[in-house]
Amino acid sequence: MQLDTFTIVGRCARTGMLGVGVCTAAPGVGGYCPFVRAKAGAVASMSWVNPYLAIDGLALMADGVSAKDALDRLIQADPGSAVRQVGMVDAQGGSAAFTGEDCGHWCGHVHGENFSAQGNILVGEATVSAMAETFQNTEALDLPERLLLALEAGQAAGGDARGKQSAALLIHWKEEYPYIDLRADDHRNPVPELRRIYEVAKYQSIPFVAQMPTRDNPLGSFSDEIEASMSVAPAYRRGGGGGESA
Amino acid sequence: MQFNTFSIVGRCARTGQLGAAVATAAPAVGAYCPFARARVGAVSSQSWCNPYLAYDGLDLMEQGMSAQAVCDRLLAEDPGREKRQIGYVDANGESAAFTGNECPPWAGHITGPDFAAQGNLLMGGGCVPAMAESFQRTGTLDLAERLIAALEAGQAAGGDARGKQSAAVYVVHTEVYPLVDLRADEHRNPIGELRCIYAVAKQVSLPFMAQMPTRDNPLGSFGDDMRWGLGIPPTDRPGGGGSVVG
Repeated sequence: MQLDTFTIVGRCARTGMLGVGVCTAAPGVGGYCPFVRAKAGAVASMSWVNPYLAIDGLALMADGVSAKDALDRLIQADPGSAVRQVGMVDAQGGSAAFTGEDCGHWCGHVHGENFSAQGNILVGEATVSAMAETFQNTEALDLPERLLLALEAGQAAGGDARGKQSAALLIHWKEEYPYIDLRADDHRNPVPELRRIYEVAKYQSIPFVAQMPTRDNPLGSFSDEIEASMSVAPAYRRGGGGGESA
Repeated sequence: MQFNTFSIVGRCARTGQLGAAVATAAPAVGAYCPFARARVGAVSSQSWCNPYLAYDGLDLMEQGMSAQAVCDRLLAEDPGREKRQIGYVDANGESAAFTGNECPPWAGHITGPDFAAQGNLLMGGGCVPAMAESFQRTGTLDLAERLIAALEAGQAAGGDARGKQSAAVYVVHTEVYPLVDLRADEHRNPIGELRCIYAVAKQVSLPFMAQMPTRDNPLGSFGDDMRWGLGIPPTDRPGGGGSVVG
């Protein structure tokens, strides 16, 4: 039995978007593993999770410290470093990863320009290699699609007898709030469920994020088209989903 | 993004926990509406959502400003105020809410010590009072439980006029990261699903999160119970969920 935590942290060199995709065999992983700040960096904190490696890592990267220097500094200061696993990407595309010696096997990471892929308690290294390869081969696509494809490739690379329970996709772009933030918090097959939710959100929420107020435009924009498309029950919208009113 | 929705923001007078819970007939409401900061406050920003009313509100509350003073000041400055709806509660239990004139009916709010309940585009005027009443009579329960119970009461009293699609609960206690952060992002019965996810998380991920490193204890306090609990497949754990095969 392998409990499978695998994550991909990435940056889109074209748009500057930063994000994390994650899947694990515990509920609600999106609540404690992926951390992203626009124009600063993206971090996945895993294994026996220390969220401050991510929170403090993002603060350092926002101050211009590279992913590598931030990770080195934080891991040295963490008394629990042997049980931590972390992947980081900074806003310049620099990346770094760390897998503590006491993380559950198989565990490891691969990182390169604009990404870091890592996992622990895996069937083998194929999951991590598949994520890395997918991310590197999909540069023409948008970051959410690349991170989802990487998760799907990671899932497919590991065989059958694997535990799984939750998955998440978190991407920041220009504002303090996320550009995309989607979860499958408890599901038999969380990566396909995350893909399904993404395909609904693609029509029913992601296009509208661009119309929310920004620091430069505190009013935001109000589209009659959005209001009309969202004024009907979810089942009648493009992408469908949801349920009837009570 | 327009979130026609109903939400409750609350503080636990016993523990000081702060949180928000929200449900709507759009996907992934948990990504954009609920906000909370430990020992500072909790906010739900909705209707034509302006997340900066939440971020800036939490900054001002952290500087010691009351929920009402924050609400007055930020809405006065917001050129889109008549399209906004927002509820605030601060760390002293003071609350404030605002419902712009252009929020679609039924729209309104109720505030009281330790909570604000609000909603727009609702089936009728019963939803918001039902949330408020539920919150007020459940003071002995944990905050996350109270917030979910309030959503259930709001849904039973009519909920969103268009139907149902997503729900979320977010609670902070002492750390920068959340104590509870759970979501049903796309579901026929999102509050029911959130309740199920919460029941599973209570057995596994909420105890895990409670043992993560804190500012005072950078090692964390992961115990053997957690090592055992996470070392078996999700389907074999108390609470169950997830799966073991592809």
